[in-house]
Amino acid sequence: MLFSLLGIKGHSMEPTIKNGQKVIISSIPYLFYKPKQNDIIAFRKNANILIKRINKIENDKYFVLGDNEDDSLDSRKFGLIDRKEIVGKIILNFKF
Amino acid sequence: MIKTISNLIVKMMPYKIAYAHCDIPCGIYDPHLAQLGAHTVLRMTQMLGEIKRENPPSHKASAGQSEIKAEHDVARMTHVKEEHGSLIEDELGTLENDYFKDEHFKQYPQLREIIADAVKLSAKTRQTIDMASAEELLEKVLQISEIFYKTKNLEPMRVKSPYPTEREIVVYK
Repeated sequence: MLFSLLGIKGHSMEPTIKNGQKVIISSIPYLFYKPKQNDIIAFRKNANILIKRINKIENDKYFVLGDNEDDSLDSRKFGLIDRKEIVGKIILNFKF
Repeated sequence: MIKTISNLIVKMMPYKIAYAHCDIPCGIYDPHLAQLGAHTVLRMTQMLGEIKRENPPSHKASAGQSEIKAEHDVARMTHVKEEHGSLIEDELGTLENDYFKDEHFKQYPQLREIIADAVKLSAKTRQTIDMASAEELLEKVLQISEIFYKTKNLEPMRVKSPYPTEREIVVYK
C-alpha cells in the first residue's frame, strides 16, 4: 500500500481525526525507518483496517491507543500488534 | 483556491474505510431510543403548535401571567425537542458507525441515504416547528428500525404506539 485514501469511521481518534474525515496513508516511510512512538498508523485487525496512535513499543510489538482514550477500542482490549499488521503511516489528514 | 480544488478532488476520490473503533463492542444495539426520540420530537412539535398565548379581554389582570406561562411552556418544550433531536442523532450515529456493517449497506443500498435524511430532518425539526418534517423524521426512523431488525433475521412489524402521538412504532414478531 504505497498510498491509499481512507475514510474514517468512528470517534476513537478525536480530536485529531474525526468521524468521516479522510486521511492518506503510506507504507513508504516504514521502508526507511521502523514505526515509532506517537506515529498514527493504519493496521489490519480481523479483516478491517483500524487507525490508532503508537503509545509504546515492546520487543518490536506495538501498543496502540486512540487519542480519545475514554472511548476507544485499542491495545488495552486487543493487546499488542505485530509489525506485519501495520499497513502504513498517516501522512496527510484532511480536516474537512 | 488550490485548497478548495484539492478538497473537492479528495471528496470525489474513491476511498477505503478505516475504523477508529470506539467503546467496547458489547453487541447491544437497538433502534428503540431513536424511535422514542422521533415520537417525542413529533409530540413536542404538536404541543408547540397548540400553545395559547392570550386570555379573553375580560381577564386583563391575568393576561400577563398567561403570556409568561406560554413563554415558559415554549422554553420547556423546545428544550425537550432539542434534547430528543440530539438523542436521535446520537443513536443513529451509533447504529451507522458501530452496528451497521458494509454487508448491511450492500444488502440495503438505500440505508445510508435514509440515515443521512433522518439526521438532516432531525436538525430541521430542531430549527423549526414543522409537523411535516417531524412526521417525515419519524417515518425515516421507522424505516431504519425495520432494516435493523431484518439484519438480525427478525421480522419487523409496525404497530400503533401507546403514545399520544398516535403514530406507529416498529417492533418485531
